Amino acid sequence: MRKNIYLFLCCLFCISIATAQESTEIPEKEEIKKTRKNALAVSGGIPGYGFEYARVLNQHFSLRIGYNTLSVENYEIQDFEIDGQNTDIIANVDYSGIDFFIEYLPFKKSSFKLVFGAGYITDLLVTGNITFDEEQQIGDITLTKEDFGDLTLNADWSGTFAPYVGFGFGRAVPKRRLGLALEIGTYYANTPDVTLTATRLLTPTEEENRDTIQDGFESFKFIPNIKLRLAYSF
Amino acid sequence: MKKNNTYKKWLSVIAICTITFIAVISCENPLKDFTVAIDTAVFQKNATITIFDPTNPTNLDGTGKVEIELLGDDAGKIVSDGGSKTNFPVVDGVLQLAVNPANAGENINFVVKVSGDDYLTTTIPVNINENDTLVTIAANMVNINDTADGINLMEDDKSLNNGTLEEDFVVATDNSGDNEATEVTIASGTEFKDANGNLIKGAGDLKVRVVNFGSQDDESLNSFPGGFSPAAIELENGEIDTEGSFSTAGFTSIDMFVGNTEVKEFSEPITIKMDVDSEVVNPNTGEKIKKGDILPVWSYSKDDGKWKYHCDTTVEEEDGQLFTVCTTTHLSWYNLDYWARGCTSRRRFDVNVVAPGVSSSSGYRLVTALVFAGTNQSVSYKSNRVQNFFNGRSFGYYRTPNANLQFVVYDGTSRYNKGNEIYRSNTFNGCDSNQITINLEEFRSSLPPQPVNVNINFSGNCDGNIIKPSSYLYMKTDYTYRGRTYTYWRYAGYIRSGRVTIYNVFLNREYEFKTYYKGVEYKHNYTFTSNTINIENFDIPAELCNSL
Repeated sequence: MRKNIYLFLCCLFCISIATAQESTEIPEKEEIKKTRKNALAVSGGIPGYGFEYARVLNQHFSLRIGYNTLSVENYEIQDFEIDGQNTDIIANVDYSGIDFFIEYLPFKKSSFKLVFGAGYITDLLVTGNITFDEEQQIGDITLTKEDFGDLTLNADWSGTFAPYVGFGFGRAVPKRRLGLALEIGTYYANTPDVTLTATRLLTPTEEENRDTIQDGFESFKFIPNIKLRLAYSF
Repeated sequence: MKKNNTYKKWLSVIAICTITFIAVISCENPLKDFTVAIDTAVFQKNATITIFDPTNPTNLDGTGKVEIELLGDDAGKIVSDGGSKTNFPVVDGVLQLAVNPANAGENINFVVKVSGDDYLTTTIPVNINENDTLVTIAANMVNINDTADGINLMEDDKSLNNGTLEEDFVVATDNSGDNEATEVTIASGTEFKDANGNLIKGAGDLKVRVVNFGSQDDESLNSFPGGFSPAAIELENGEIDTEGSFSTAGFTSIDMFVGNTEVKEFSEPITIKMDVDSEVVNPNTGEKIKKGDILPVWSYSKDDGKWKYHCDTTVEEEDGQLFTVCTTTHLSWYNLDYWARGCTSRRRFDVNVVAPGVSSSSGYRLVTALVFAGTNQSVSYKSNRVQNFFNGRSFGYYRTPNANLQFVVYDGTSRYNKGNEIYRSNTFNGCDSNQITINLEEFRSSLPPQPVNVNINFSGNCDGNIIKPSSYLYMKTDYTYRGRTYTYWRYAGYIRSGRVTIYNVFLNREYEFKTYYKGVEYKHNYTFTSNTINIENFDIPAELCNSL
């Protein structure tokens, strides 16, 4: 489902880009005032909340330096299917990173932008604790999911330097005092270090997937960045 | 200018498409190739109890030969390997129990009461502590139709008049040859009471069964209920002692029934005369026992598996035969024993092995015993073990008795096939010595031809799910007794998540293996061709899959 939404959004932006120039054209008189070349911004979305400093370099380019962070604790996903089994997942995410971006405005009269740069991911650890949500009767004993044990999956991207590319609408330093922007992009990070631990009856799962679990995350070099950004220019 | 804008549009579209493509491929489910593999070890803490008929192990083949009752405060926390709280099947002499997962963190003590038409009822105390995952115990049963060496049984009947004995009644076991006998005398006028203390009237004739266990035969000593280091005994002053061991001079079991009602008490004391072997060493004097020595008697309840001080007796002598006499008003096992205070339970006595050039994978699996010096009695049932001897190996014993001991090595492969003695240590005190060192070179020339140890890695397939079984594994093994060879299922190891090492087998020879699950047995023949065997995606029978 999430994949479909992502695709839909991307296609929507592809279609709209042709008309974006017209709809976002700004009168000449409202172009950036030479005295307002800086902005401070706050943002929210994936992967987290952040604040940012931006500076106009010239008519088409701006520099952005920002810090993002996110902490998700005990987010519950129910009925997730793994190998044909229904599972419950408790997910935890810890993220913090520093962005160094160049924002490029290809059209003079449009706020459509392309964003390039890199992020230093100081901390990105995704942990999933997986339990099977069925009880089983063994004689007079009911085995709960605790008796079956659990799987703990860690994917760790921490300490990596990740190139970034993105696009969106809204200038790094808005023409007005306040400006809203939307940005979609992705970091290109290293493949995460993935570890799997299993307990109790699921213990053999750890060894069984030792070789494949890292391969499964091979394509997870791309870390999405979708956020709304509110900037204050000065 | 227009061309420049077109270029920029294309650049933008390419950027968007690139990111879209990335989004698509990065949204791939990272767990799509994930495989859930399940261990069949449903229970974390298990006990396997091998019930052995030393006169013919095949007597216990099949099911229904003996019945099991669990006693003690923690009995309700125990289930069968099939999860039953009430039905504990014994298959081919093997009882598999587990701690209810709800009580997995507790120190569990219970007593297994084993009874059967052809067997003397016995009890086996079991302790599964917080750190145990598997407790293995082997206990001998006394076949009343064919007793083992050193065990003599006598049954006799007497009619009662309205529940009252009208003349003295004496039942004695055979005392011919080297046999020590037990003689029970019930005085005229004695009345009999049931477990509730009620007089038994009009139920039928009196039936008395007396069994004498000598102090010098292995089969007899292995029948000592619970072994010689019980978890606790009640001393003369009522204190509970948990750090001692028995050194026995013989023991006896007495059962009586009036009709079908079991007798527990008498209106008048009965007299028990027990012969004492002159080879018994009095640990208090360090010399062979003699007339005038004091010899305590301990009683053992087969209902709760607890030992209790009964009385002191004085050793007497008649026609060169030593004996003691005591009286009692209740029935139990009676044990002529010296109680030796052991070392603290936290202290471990270690045996260190020096075996140059021998690694764990090429080690020698040999039968060992920790015995009392002089009497050669095993310190406890846990002190008879098969150990893997290799360089640097160390194994230990907790709560060794404060007595002179010896460590003995045999060249056999199981406690029921001990083979010949090939090493005996010097005598040491169980509390003074923390360790002994054994050099394999001292008896390497006496070691049997070296079989191999085979490492097996097994996984099965149940409807596409990978199963890494955990189960007890048994191997058909020969056993020779009184010149006749029997085959029985010997515990060969515990398969943990599909892995097990089978010791002391020969390559290119077919062996028969068996596992049990929920009281059902599964057999398989296998010929090892290598030290390492990988059996992957074995198609597990549907009936077993369905029960997993």
